[in-house]
Amino acid sequence: MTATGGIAIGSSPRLAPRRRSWLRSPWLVPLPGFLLLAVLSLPPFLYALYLSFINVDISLPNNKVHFVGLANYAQVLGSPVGQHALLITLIVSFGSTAAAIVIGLVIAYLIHLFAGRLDGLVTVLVLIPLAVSPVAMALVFSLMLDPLYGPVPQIVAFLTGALIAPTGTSLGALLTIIFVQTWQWSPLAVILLLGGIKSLPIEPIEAAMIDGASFWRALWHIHLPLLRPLLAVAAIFEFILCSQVFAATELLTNGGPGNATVDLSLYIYKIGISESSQVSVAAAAGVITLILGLISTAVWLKVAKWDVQVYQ
Amino acid sequence: MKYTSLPAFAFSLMLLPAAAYAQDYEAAVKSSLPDFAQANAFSGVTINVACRHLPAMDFIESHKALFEQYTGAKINFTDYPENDLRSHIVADAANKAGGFQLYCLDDNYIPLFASNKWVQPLDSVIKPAYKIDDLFDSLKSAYSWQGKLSGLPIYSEVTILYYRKDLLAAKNIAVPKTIAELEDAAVKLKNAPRTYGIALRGLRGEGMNVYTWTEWLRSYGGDFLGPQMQPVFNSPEAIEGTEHYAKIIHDAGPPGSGTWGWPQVSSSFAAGRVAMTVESTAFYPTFNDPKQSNVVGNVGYAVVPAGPKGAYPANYAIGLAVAASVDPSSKAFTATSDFLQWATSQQMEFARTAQGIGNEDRKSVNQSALLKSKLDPAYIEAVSEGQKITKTNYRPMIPQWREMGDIIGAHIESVFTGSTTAKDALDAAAAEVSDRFKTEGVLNTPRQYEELFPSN
Repeated sequence: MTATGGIAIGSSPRLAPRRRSWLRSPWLVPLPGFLLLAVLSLPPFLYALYLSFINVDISLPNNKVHFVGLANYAQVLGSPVGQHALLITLIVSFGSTAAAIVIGLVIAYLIHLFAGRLDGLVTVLVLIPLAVSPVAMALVFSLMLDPLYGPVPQIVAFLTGALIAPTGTSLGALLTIIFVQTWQWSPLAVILLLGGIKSLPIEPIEAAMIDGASFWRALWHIHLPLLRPLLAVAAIFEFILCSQVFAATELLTNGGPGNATVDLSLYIYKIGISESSQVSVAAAAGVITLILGLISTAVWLKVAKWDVQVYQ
Repeated sequence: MKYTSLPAFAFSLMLLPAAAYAQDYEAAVKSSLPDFAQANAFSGVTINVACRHLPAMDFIESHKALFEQYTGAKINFTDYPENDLRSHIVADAANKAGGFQLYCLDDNYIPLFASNKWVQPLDSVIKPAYKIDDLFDSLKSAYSWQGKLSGLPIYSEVTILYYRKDLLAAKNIAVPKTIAELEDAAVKLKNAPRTYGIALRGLRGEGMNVYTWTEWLRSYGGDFLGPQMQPVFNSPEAIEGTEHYAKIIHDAGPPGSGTWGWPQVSSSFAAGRVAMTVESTAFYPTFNDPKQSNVVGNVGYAVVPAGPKGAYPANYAIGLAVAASVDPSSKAFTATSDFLQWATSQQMEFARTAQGIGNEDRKSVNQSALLKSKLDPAYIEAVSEGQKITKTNYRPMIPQWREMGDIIGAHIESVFTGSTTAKDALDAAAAEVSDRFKTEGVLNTPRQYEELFPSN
């Protein structure tokens, strides 16, 4: 810097007139965006927060509305139905995220290794589930799994002689929901990871193979660690998508059998709108969902260390 | 020419009486107008109706021009999907918005709307021409809240036993008259995986599994609420009824039918995959339509089977009620209540029955030659008997019913799928309902309706 001999670089006071300091604030450029976001999303959020601390119930219009503290939160977290919904949310979102990443990774490697010049076509075909509306998909699955008319139980009955109803038991219904979520969102992992696999250097693998490592060892110890930042990004995206279940639980199982597949979003819908009218409890459950989402994302970011370079 | 026109002429002669009948009924609808409203009395009045598509509702809508021309009132129908209708009406009523003068209401909303004073009482304005005593008695009381008439029905149903005459005859099984006989017959008729003995609603919901499960609850002597509004639907009788309902689904129902709603139940019967079902009379047209049904001509009808405490057909009705925002002393109120009575009159019901739109609300239509010429006599008999014995408080007619029913429905579904026992599920539901009643301030207050078994 000193070698430039006093010639100023950049916005020197001598070359440009000094601007007022707030104009140079780093907040200025994104400010309109932040404002727009605040106007659009803060009022409903603040209103939901307000609702969650009072006792609004649409079916009791003559009830006196007053501050109830954390009673609504206690009802969500303290009632068996609310606790179960929380558990189902965690199982479905983590279960389908893990499944989508594993399946996405396997499919991405298969395309990379075997599709050859057809990989463009195969990738487009693999992407189809992403383009299907979740509602249409839930309805198609409910038809396919129908014990009397659906092809899946018919094939199983032909092979084993027993007619089954996949969504007729608690475990079956839960696995079906996880399967549907995985089926819908794993293609996103495929494109993300396929891009990553194609961009990785081939040299470390070649070096390892020359040193006598088997294909699996090279894959496991060299290729996958190189892929880790992308895996982490894919996992975060997958988690955000997979934790937003509604079409499948509402249309395919309707939360059933009983409450077996009622997750937090369906719980909110049922307790606030469709089966009861406890708007305040629903608002509290909404805030809990938001907090849960934030915590989960933070945990993912921490665990995945997606911004840490691997071999540097 | 001659040869073709002769059969055509004969055919038109055959059609002539039927066509004339239909026209007569149409003419009666028009000529009954002076009995319900004054000519040109309501110019400048607009009646907005919040409703949903039903054959009977569409029929009224198609005749609204008659009333408009005669009285000068303007009538607008706003059709909402079934699930949206309630929230629109509740918003209009709770905010006193006055957007609608007539609400389309299920009978089990009447307690909620009447107790919140969201609808106007109608007793003082009912005209002799309306022939209110011609309505089925259970229907009249369903549309009353604490003795005040709060709406008029346009649609009603009860549940009946539908059975396959051919399958029962092949196995030499008599039509079940008791639940024990029903269980026995259902197991004998099961021929898996081709046909199953019975399909019943299992899917959670006040209007789903609770609708038909309540028959079993009542038939075994179970009640919903004690004299102080405390839940008693986890009594030993109620548990026994629930166990029987779950048992017949488990032993004779199609796999997974513990999670079925009425769409699956009715379509499996129409497809010939189940031999019996206890379902709403609303499915008569479906089961007898060759386009939708494989079992046309083989369907038998009977009153629902009885348990130790008798037979309890479920009932459900849809009607219209006048919004509280309409001032009872205003011209708008007279116009609205006149239109409501004309739209749900005996003449209107005969006219729609002549068009093949069934689900009658009136004894006169149920026993008419017109209905007999259109429907299976065994069906008419089952409906008539069912309407006679069904109880208004089959389900508690209280403002809290919907919510309470949905809570029960969610818990008993897991009994029907075998995930839990009847006792555990009903205990959990009773605890949840108790909590809710406590919040609403109705627990330990006197019950506002008559339970069917007053000994509790």
